[in-house]
Amino acid sequence: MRCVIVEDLPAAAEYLKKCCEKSGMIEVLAHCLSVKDAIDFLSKNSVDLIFLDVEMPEGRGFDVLDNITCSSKVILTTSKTEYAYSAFEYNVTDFLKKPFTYKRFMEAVKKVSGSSTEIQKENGGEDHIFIKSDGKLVRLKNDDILYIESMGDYVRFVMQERKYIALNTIKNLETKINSQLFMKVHRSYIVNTSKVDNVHENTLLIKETKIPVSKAFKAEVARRFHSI
Amino acid sequence: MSGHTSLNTFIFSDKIDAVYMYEMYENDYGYIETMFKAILDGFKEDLAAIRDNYLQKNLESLRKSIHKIKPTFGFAGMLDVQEKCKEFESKCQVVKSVGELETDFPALIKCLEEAGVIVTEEYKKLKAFNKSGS
Repeated sequence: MRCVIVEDLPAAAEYLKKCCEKSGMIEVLAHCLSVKDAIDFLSKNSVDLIFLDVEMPEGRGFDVLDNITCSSKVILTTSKTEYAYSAFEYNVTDFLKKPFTYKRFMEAVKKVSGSSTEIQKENGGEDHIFIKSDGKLVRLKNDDILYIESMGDYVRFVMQERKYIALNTIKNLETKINSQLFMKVHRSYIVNTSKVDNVHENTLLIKETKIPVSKAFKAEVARRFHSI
Repeated sequence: MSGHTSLNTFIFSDKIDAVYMYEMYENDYGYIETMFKAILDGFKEDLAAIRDNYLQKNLESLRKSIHKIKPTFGFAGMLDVQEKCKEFESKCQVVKSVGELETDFPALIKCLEEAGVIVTEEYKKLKAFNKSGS
């Protein structure tokens, strides 16, 4: 897992770095000392996990979450238990009260890796999805889907041979489809990564159709389609 | 609070909870030395910020600066100092002006200064201990 530490207390950041190193499963990409630094970093980089302090200079850790669009898991690190309710509202994976032991740290990390596995199990085992279209359930093989496009309250599944329209949203679909094969690249598009022919700076090409990549997903796209 | 007494074990000041330190770091004294250095690196600046905010009578900034320094002492195994910071931070949220803290503030500053001295001394001892390869 790749993580970023957002923490203004050097001792706490040092402790977290060591815990990550000791775990052997977390690579620390950066340490941000302020909310602004964290937003800047996360707009350009993609991480699996954010260790987030709450009370920071010039803002609260939650401001980071309000200003980024990535789907990273979050572990709050704070010395104030009063933030537990907000933690719940922001759907963070765990809450570490500073200072915490390595054992407690690992419990939190296991929740993160556990939840990732759960999502993969939920989506990864199936090679197809069922959608309701024209009043019937239609089985779509994952491998036949090129991309999915938003049409307001509906989505269009663009296949090799034909298209299907179904009542659904991109936001809902992104949590339900196979995350190893599909990825959201724009608020209106989810693409089948195995069908991408080439990647430009702000677009992907699938069978001669240009799919826009929004700024928020650029880092994740770059990570998924890195060259060898 | 009690220090470990076995051979090859660093004996902490009796102001530091050695059992808690073991829970946090086991007996990784190199790691503890790094932590104490990190604590000392930010300590003077954080203490100065507390004093400034008190003198400026800025209640919310004073609370924030106490909040920031609070866990520092937990990482150094001085949970009683952390608790005192917590109590003071809570008072900051109850009172209406910094003036209402004039009896509590000097006691807190004294406590923090003493804690700083202890961490400094322990850091020196740890450095020597680690250097000796014990």
